[in-house]
Amino acid sequence: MNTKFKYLLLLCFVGIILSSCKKWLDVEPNSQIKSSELFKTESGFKEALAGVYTLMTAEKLYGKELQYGMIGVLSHEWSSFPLTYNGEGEYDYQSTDVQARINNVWNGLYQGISNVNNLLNEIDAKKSIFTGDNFAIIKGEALALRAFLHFELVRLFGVSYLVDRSKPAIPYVTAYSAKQTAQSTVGDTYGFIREDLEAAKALLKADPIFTGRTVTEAEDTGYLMNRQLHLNYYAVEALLARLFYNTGAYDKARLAANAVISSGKFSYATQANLLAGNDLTGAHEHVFGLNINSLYTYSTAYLSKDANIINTFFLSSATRNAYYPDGSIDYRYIYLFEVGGGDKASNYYLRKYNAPQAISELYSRNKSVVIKISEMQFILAGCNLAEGKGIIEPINKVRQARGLPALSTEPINPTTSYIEEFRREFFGEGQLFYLYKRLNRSIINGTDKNMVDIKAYILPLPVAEYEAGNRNSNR
Amino acid sequence: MNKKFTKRITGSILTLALFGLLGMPERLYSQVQATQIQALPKVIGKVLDESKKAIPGVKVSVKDNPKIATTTNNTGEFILSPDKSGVTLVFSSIGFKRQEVTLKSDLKLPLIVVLKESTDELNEVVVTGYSKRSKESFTGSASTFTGEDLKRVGNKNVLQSLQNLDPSFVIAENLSLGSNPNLLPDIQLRGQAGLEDVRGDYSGNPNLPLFILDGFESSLQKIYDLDMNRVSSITILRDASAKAIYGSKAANGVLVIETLAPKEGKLRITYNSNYNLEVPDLTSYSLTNASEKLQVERNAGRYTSTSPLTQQFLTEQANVIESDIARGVNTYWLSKPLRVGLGIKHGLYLEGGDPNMRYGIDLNYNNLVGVMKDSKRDNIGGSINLSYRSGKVIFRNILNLNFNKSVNSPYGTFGEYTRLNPYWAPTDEYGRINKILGEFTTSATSPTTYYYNPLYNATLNTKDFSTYTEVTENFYTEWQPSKDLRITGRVGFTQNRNASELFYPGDHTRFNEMTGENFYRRGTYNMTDGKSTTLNSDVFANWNKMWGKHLLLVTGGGNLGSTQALTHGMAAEGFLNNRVDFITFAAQYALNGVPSGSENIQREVGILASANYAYDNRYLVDLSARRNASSVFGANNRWGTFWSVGLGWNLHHESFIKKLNVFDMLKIRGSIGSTGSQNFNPYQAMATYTFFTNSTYDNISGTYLSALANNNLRWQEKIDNNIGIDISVMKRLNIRFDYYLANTNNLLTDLTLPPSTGFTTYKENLGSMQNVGFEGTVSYQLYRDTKTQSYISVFGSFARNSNKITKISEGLKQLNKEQDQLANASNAPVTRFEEGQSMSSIWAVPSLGIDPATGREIYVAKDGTKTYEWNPNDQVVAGVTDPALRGNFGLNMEYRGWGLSGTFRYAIGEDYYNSTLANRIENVDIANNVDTRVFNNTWLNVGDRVPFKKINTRPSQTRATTRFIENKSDLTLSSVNVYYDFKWKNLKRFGLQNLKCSLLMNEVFVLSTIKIERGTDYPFARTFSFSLQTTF
Repeated sequence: MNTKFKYLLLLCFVGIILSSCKKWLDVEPNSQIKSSELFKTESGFKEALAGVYTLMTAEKLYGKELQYGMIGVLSHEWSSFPLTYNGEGEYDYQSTDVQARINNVWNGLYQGISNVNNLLNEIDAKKSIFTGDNFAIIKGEALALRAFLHFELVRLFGVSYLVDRSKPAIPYVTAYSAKQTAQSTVGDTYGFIREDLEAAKALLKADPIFTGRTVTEAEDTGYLMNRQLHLNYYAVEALLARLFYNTGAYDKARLAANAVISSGKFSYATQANLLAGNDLTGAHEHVFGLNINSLYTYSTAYLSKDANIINTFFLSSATRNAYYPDGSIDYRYIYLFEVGGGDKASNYYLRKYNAPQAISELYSRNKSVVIKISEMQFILAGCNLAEGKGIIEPINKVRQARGLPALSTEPINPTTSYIEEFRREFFGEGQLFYLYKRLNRSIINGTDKNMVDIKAYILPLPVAEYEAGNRNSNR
Repeated sequence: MNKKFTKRITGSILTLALFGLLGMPERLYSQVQATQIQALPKVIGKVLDESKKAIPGVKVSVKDNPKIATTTNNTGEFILSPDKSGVTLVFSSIGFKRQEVTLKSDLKLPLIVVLKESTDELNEVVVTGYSKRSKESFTGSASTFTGEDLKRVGNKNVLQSLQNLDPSFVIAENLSLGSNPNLLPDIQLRGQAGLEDVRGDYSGNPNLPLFILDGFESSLQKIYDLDMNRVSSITILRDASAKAIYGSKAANGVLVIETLAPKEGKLRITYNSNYNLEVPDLTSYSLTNASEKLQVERNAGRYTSTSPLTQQFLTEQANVIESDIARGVNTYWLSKPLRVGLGIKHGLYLEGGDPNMRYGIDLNYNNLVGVMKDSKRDNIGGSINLSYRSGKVIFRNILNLNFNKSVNSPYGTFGEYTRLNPYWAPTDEYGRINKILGEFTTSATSPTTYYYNPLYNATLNTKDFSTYTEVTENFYTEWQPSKDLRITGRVGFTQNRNASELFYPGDHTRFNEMTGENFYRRGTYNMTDGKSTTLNSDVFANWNKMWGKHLLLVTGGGNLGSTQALTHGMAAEGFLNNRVDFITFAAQYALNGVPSGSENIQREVGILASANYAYDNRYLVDLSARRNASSVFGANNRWGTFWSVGLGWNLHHESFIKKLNVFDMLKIRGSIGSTGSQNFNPYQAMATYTFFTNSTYDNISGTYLSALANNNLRWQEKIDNNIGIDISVMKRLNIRFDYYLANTNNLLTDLTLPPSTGFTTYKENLGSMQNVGFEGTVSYQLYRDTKTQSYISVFGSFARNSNKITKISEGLKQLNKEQDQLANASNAPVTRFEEGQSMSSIWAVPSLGIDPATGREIYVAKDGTKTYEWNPNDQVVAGVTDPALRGNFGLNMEYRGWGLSGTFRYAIGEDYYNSTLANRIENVDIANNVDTRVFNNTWLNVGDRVPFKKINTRPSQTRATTRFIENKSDLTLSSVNVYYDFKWKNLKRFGLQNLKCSLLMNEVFVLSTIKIERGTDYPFARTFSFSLQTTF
């Protein structure tokens, strides 16, 4: 054997050893699961997707702050809130408490985005492992989630689209990477959101809520049964309605909103259920709601009427009466508030997030609203308002569902009426602040600050984002 | 496999091959060196060892003309042609004593030379773990100590002894845990190479050196529990040239430990026993007595009130204490939980065999006893060492088994006793232990504070222990196909199973606050168990060749290793009955508790090559390279390359030095090279998902990314530069000096990310650090008389290391902010990282002392203004805790079997934050016992110029201030050993081969320029021991 050949043989041998080494060095932890391992099965994708929703249920996001905490105080809908929220009340965005909450919202929403991005990174290559329509549905949901999370970010951290869409806002992140993404303008961000939503909508044509296919527990352990807890086809449509309304594309907004309404999949809470206290959250109204395991723990801690629990959010009796002038017949006035005990006897506490009275009531349990059907009516009304048309027709749909008589004449001051109707409907759901921002109201109820002058509608980017990301001002 | 990488591998294989080719053309160098003088007869001979076995590879040379030389062949035979008659031949071989034979005219050929094995002269050899190198041809900085050296300066464990022998090996003094036998020491070799682990990024101590026991990587715990009598030698590898063969793990230095290999012969039994007395050392404490303490409390205003009613109330309480004092209560609490511990250690070693089959059996029992009552560490171990030779193949097997149980004292921590007031009595008049010692109420309407007796807890069935069982099986095969080539294969397996339990019954004083509906939860029980398994194997070849003046040694090989560890644990609560002490009696699991646990898997693979070349034993070159891959690092950067180059010059072999006839050795050497460290978290570079354990979404258990993966994460690399000199003069004076500069690059730190990436930090290789220092040892033999085997020698050593952070990341700057917040709430300085500063910097705000007018501390702000406000931004580097110089010195002597050795350890010029001043004087809680300095030196009235603030009833806070920084210099008498060796007596008539008795004292005293409480949670101890060693 010649020497060269010997060395070649040796080299091959070493090569074989080393290439198997590579695999050998790829250890599999037991206490955590590697990304590459997780995405080997369909259930891994389901778990990763459920993980993103679970991240959103945190107290710092939709568990509290973006539901009725920080966002509620920013809209001044509460007559009283814990002292630590004084910063939000005064729109002092430099205060330590506010900055901490802003950081949490920013970091939390982007954490969700990076998780979605890693899922989207893997999904196309693994198309073959999915059963039924699950590939299209999971990918569609993931794209919709990415759009939704960025939409929330731009609603908080971007200038209102109709005010100045060329202003730098947030980075639209589409990769799981340490590489930072450039900041986009408000206009571009809305563009990216729309692209993702349209893509999601196309994929979600397979969604059983859209196709009408009946899903039973027996099929795939009922994975596609509770579509309202996921960003389903109609949730994407509703988000498009929101987006078009925010960007002033009213005809498209109407089209989208009507598509959701006319689907007939969503119905208003019944008086019987409200009376029994079994559906305070209006589970059947949710176009998209979150399944929050700790919902009642949070509501007990922050919304409780219990005299021993301090630092809660509540309405004074007078404010509640002012918000609901037709109180005695308004379901929301009657059923969604309860009076406090002891020295809290003149305060009213929101019941929306309380546990259903009946233990057997499972459907509405642990559900929290993100998008509900009545918002579509308000988008229709909002489009009319923006174009100077009458608003009572869509609004009456909501009023009647809440036990109120229909309005027969257009209100004298339509914008004010619209806001009042809106507040009644979305109280404690974190939407009022965005409405004020959309309407660019300089004076709002509950504060003497000029909201536009002090740029209250644009939360500052977190300091860490400025420093590490070298960002331009978004305000 | 990626292409670039294949190329590199090919490169290293070709390098190996090149070395191989260099050696190929010659076949005859073992033959006689050509010489012109044919008139003289050739000398033919054979070299044997003491058991009359041939020794191959012995160098035979003419003393005055080393150019004429040869080596013995496989059967120990040689032929040499001297240049003239009457010359002296020198026979030398590693592991044997050098021997000279003068060729007389009546010499009978063949010449039979018997070489004696040199066990005592290990310092001629450097054990690297892959080969034994003669010290003369080694270019690295290494020190070798024999088992005897270690035993001379201590008998506790090898680490403690090493500290007394080598100045670069430092055990950080643990002022809190003192002499706790269950405390594993914190070791540094040549300073800190890694960043201090503030955030817990490392899986262990980032500065821990690598321990190699009998060729295999070993844990600190194993070395700590290793029976010193089993140790044959320890080699400390310090610089790149010495340690680069361990490449990836060697950044913090390497300790190569070899255990005794059995000697052949008839069965020999060696027995060792030690009796150790551990005596608590409380000299650093100066606490008030009963009446002084009451006075301190009065001064602080504990019994003063503006309200007459409260005043009356307080006076009554003071009167009760005063009457107790008058009754004679003055308890010295410090001694209550302490004892003089008597520990016993036995070791039995059996060895023997024939040239082909040798055996060694070792049994040892070590009962290490602490000075806190009932604290101990028991170790029972045994090993079987077998070696079998069959022709050219040697098999060796070491099986080792170790059982350990460490028990912590039921008396709690020593700190509790230092706080108890002397005016409290531990027992009532019938001698029963009081559960409540005293109480205090600030006013008639306030709740009462009770003070409990920790001695009471010792009467309960508490449990606090951990155990482990470790099995180590090492198997070695050595094949020597020719006299130049040796191929070794090794497999090592270690399994460690451990468990720990911690139980406090419900009656324990720690649960006194649990009342009402929580009462039933009193009593806790924690159990954990774990298992770790390590499997290592390697194959390597040593090839050496001598031809003419050239000597070449080549080593090449590869290794594989894997470690797997896991622990699980649970906690339970609710043990209201003091008599039951089993976990099943729990009322429930700990409130909201879930099972705990951890696991990690690490794997590595490596290849290595090294070559050492010596020309005429004058010019030396050492080269080594190692490539290693570890699962800890990013998928794209698994492999790291480590290398070293060393050069040496044996000046004493140069004729111009030889002429002086002064130097036995004069070698200058230098080396440069890179090594890595890898005590990192095993999964830090991967994208892993964690499952939500306490919530589901739509009946699916969700999962989320734990961290941002860094596939490019690579090895932290340390570049060592070292120059050194070894001098030996007239066989009396030995000097070694080394100067080094080491840069650690690619430090693994957290990089701050814009949170829009979804994560706030990310593991990156950023930052560098530099360690510069020197170290040296000097020894001088004052007197030597070989006839009586008597000598007197003195020795001294010194070392200095300074550290500088040369580059840090934004992440660490963020960490500084976190640390500043911590500093704001702390009575002590915190670790901060700043470029250009040392890791050992003490950060504090400059202080001008206590304002005599107000009693408040005056600080100097950054802009030079005086202020009463402490601001973290005003912190400056107020000192560095690295001493200006540290080392040992002492004396060894022996006269006709009587021996004496004494070793001192010193450290000079160390800046020190005296926490005793902060915690035990100034910020003391007046409810507890205090240092007597509280009496005189605290501010009381306007105009008092004193070093300490006013003591109030409420403990105050003193944040890091330069006021408490002191300059510390220490001198410790670390060991004194007196022995008598019966070798001068005729032991044979008692059937003994040798007998040696010694008395040893450790840590006899510490002299320090500062006064600080030492051993706050576990006191320090002095050790006195008697030991006996005999062989029969």
